[in-house]
Amino acid sequence: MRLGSRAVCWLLMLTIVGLAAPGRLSAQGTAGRRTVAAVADRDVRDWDSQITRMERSDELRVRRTDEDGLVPGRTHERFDQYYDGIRVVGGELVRQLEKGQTLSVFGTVYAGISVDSEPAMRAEDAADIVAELTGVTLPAARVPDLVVLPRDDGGYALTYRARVMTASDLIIYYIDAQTGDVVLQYSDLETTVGTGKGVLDDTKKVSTTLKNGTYIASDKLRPPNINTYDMKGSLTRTNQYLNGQILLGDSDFASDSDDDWTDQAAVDAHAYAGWTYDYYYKRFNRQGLNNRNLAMTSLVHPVKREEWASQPSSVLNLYYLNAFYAGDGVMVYGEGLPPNVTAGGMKWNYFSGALDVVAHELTHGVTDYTSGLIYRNESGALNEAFSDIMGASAEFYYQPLGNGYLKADYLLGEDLTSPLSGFRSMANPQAFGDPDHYSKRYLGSSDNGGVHTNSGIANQAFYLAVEGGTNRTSGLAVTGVGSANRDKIEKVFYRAFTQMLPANATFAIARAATIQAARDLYGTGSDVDRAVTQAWTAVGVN
Amino acid sequence: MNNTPVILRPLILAGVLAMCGLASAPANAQTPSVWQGIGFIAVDGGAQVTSSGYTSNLTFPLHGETATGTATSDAVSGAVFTARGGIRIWKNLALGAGVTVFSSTPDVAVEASLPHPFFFNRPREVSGTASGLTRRETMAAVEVSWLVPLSRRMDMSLFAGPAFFNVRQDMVTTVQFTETYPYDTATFAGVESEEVSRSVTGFTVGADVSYLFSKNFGLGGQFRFSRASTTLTPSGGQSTAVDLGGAQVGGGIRIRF
Ligand SMILES: [Zn+2]
Repeated sequence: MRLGSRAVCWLLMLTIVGLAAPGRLSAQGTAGRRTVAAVADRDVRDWDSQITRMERSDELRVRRTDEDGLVPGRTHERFDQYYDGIRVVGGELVRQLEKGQTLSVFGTVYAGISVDSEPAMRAEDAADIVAELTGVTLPAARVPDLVVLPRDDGGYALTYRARVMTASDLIIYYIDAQTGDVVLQYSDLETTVGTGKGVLDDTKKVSTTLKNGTYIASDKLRPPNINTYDMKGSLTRTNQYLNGQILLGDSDFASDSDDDWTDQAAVDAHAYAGWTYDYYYKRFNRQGLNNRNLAMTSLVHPVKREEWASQPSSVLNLYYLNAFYAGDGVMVYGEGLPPNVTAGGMKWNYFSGALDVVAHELTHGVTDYTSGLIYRNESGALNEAFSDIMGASAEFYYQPLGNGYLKADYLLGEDLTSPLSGFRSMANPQAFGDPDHYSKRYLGSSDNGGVHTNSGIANQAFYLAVEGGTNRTSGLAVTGVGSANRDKIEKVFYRAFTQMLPANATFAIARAATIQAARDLYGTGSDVDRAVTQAWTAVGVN
Repeated sequence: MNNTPVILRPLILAGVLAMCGLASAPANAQTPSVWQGIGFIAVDGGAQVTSSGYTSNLTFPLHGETATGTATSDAVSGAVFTARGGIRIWKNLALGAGVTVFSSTPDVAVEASLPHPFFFNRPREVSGTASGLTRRETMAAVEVSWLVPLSRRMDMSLFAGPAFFNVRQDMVTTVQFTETYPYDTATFAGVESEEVSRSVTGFTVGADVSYLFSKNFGLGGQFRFSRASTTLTPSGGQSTAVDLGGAQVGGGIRIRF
């Protein structure tokens, strides 16, 4: 069965769904809880005297004092809050000092605590309760601590806190010191490294978390939360989530019973999101999409593959034959088509199965938080090009050079298609009907003014700046920096596109900004300056 | 010998004096050629100085791969306590038993190759020194002794026999380390160990020189060499060949009856 080629033209079209920021805060009660973030002089002075007063009344005790490893002469004091000599869970202040002068105070303290501080049971009794619940007898060194627990529903409880490793989970228990009831229990984070097969049957590692006996695709090893959810083919639920109408919970995580993962789409979405984070971190020292470790959320299986034939073309184009960045760090990966179905003459695999596609989508997030290139006309084409450039660059960072699956090349999305083809080429945009020269740019209005078409011009400029060669349209030759120095051109484009371009940039501005970035980084007249300048000239952007 | 506890040094000195200094005294004309006593007891403290080192190969699962490494102790030396006694059975021949208890806690050099949490075949190398890993050897030997009177106050005995060793060795099982994002390096932080116990048969030979202050009491020194070989295998780990025993020198009190 063949689909119209139009489906293919829509591939990788970015769809920014305006998300109402979902309420992802926990339901923790706030009665009596004071959040402290004192940096202004007066606030700092107030908290200084407050700390002194609370230390005198034994409501605060210094737990530790650390030297600042980055700013010489600074120290950081950590105070725990106490009530009647008992530590208050989560009550903590951190004071930054320089030469005895306070610079900042951050933390949380609880006011109005009222609780009977005389426990009715001993710590050993609480340990017995935990043993009954879990079958684990705590050794004497791990006897539960008496603490005051601020309850989620407000109020406080005198509790014993125990941390218990069972056969399947690491559980924190808070046992009421008066009644022996379990006031609170939760799974402490347990980070694991699983393995799984990706979409192309390649085995890779995945950072997972063991929660309540099941391994979930939640990466706690990297600085941001990187979570992958299995939408189980529910387009309704997918749309509800993207529209902020529902939150996703533990049961929505992509999961595996033994950490040897079999959901290939989830494996690649999860692993490649982490790889992309690492690429940005190691290459550009960037901390995630917003440079502040924004959580990265991947949705796989938004629809069911086998239902493709009954879907309207809009759903087919968006949720089967596409991947998109939905804003706020959320990516949605299309399901592809069943192996016996072709579209545009090709078979289509799960869209998370191509590293360049994943890095492309995540780069839309980076653009969102930096230049904000407007997604139409020339700025839109630059937006798309930057995603392609970073997508291909991530491939070169991780994969061996070559032609074929799981190889680094200048094709986009080739790992998704059979036969190996992809849907764009940076080395030869015209092979897919895209312009490789400004004079051939698309001037119509479809595809937001040809954002996926005219991206070929900037893609070709990047390619020529790295590899060198002759532009097919202008016949102008470029001396590239060479593949061994590709990181220099990546840095030039990254710097220009994230820090120098305005939202409504044109190709001419992109030329000027990348040349300036090259000169700032490597000097005027450097090989890099020359390569970038020649490349833009070769593609007709002056 | 730098592992020898300070308290044992006088005992070793006593033994060396008894074996060397006093043994060189000219033999007295009254030296009896036949040992007349019923039996003897010797209790010594000293050092085991030439025990062999060992290298154990480590493998343990980490991050979906297998971490590998080695734990190497160049030599195992330390304090040894010995007690032996015997009964004369014929002429100068005595049959008896000896027990030695040896303990040593040498530093162990650890090297390991730790899999990366994100990628296959991208190990991080760490190395460090682990301390507190103890070997305890207990040897019980059946000893046949030939006692040679050297003078009225001095004698020397040569002894040999099969020895039954029990060893309890703390074996490194896992390397502890710290790592932070992006995990391209790791830092050695220590080891986890498991005490592995094994019993094996070997031999012991030695010589003892005693100097008697009175009919029943004296001081003496001994030199002994014992040896047994075995393998130690922590649960789920690799087998490591170790040699037990070694050269021991010590000194202490002598009782004759
Ligand atoms: Zn895109």
